Amino acid sequence: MMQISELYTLLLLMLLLFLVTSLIRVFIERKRLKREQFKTVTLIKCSKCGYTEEREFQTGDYILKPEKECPKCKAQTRIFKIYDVKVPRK
Amino acid sequence: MMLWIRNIKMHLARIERLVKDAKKKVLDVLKKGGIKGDPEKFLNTYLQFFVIDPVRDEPTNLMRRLEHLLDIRQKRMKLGLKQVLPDLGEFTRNNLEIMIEAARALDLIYRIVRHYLMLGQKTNNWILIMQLELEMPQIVKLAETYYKALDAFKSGKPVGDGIGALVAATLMNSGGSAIKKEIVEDTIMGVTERKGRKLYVIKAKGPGGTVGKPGEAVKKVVEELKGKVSRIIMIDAALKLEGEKTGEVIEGVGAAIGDPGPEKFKIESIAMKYNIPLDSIIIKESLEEAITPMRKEISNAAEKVIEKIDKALEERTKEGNIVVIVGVGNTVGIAQ
Repeated sequence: MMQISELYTLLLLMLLLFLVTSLIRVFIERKRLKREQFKTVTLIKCSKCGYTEEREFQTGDYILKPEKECPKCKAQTRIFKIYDVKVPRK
Repeated sequence: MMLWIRNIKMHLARIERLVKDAKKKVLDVLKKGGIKGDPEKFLNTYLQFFVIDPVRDEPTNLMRRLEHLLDIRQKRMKLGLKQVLPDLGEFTRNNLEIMIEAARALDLIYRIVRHYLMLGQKTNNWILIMQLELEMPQIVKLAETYYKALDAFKSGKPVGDGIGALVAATLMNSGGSAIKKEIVEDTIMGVTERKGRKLYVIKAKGPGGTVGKPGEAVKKVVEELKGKVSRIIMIDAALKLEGEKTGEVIEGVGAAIGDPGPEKFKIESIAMKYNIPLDSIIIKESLEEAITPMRKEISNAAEKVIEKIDKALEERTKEGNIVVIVGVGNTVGIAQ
């Protein structure tokens, strides 16, 4: 029959195992969250011919801000959208 | 209990660091803007600024009393910022106002967690400590969300909550040039035509960070048109449940607006007064996605919302009808 001291040892071992697996899970989760990064993109569009261009966000950008001339039809382009995209994991 | 207390203290230290960093970011903007006087003293005044809720046991004029208090609070903050930063542009000042709000929320979280921790220790109340320990991961996540929001408002990037404003701005500029005017404080109305219907499109005045007064604007437009509006369509971001897809667009009825009450009350009242059907379209997102830079999937939902508006116009209104469209949400980074 199992003695009390053996039962305690078994319980302690189980607790230790639980703690170690929990720690590993927390570590993996943190690493996953740290890796999830975003970058902000500005999408410029010409409302006349539909030409679009993407570039990185610059301070001062806002949606509907007039931008440079359209390289295709020479009409005035505007910032159409500004959004965050996930940066692929390295 | 000792382990729980240790863990809570560890999380609390993390929140404290976020509060300090947030304050530093706000102070940097204040200093950069050329603040008159002591920036820290100015910030501390607004960090613990409070509004006392109106008496709710007596409901007479409750919404008007609440609106009055909220107006006073906002005007006081705007005036305070204008006095110390007179040369800063209106939009940057609006963004700074929201940054102070985010820092205030963070500071409040920190002080509340510290309060319950100290109270639990003082009274040896293990139930209080246990509850706090179990809630800590969510509390830290909330604090981190407010911290991330600071960067969006600092750089003037559109946030997820601005999807309603984005749809309104797109509609205002889709059918040729709409006639636009500031109908009430910080709120723009544009008149345009779509599918043979006359649209009165309402949104907050951008690109600074503000939500405007959409309720007051709807009330004014409907009253000016003597109630001859065939439909009111509201567009807003709504909190999704865990497991739901970000950017999902769904329809319903009622006033889609998450204000403390006065704006929603005005829209419901005016719709009821003239018996105008009130439709709403919501875009699902999490709290984090709502106050941090707009994700691509949320931005892409704008086209889906416009498709639903077109369908609603064709199916539920007739040619020549007048429809009021309200894009609700913070318009930071979105002009009109």
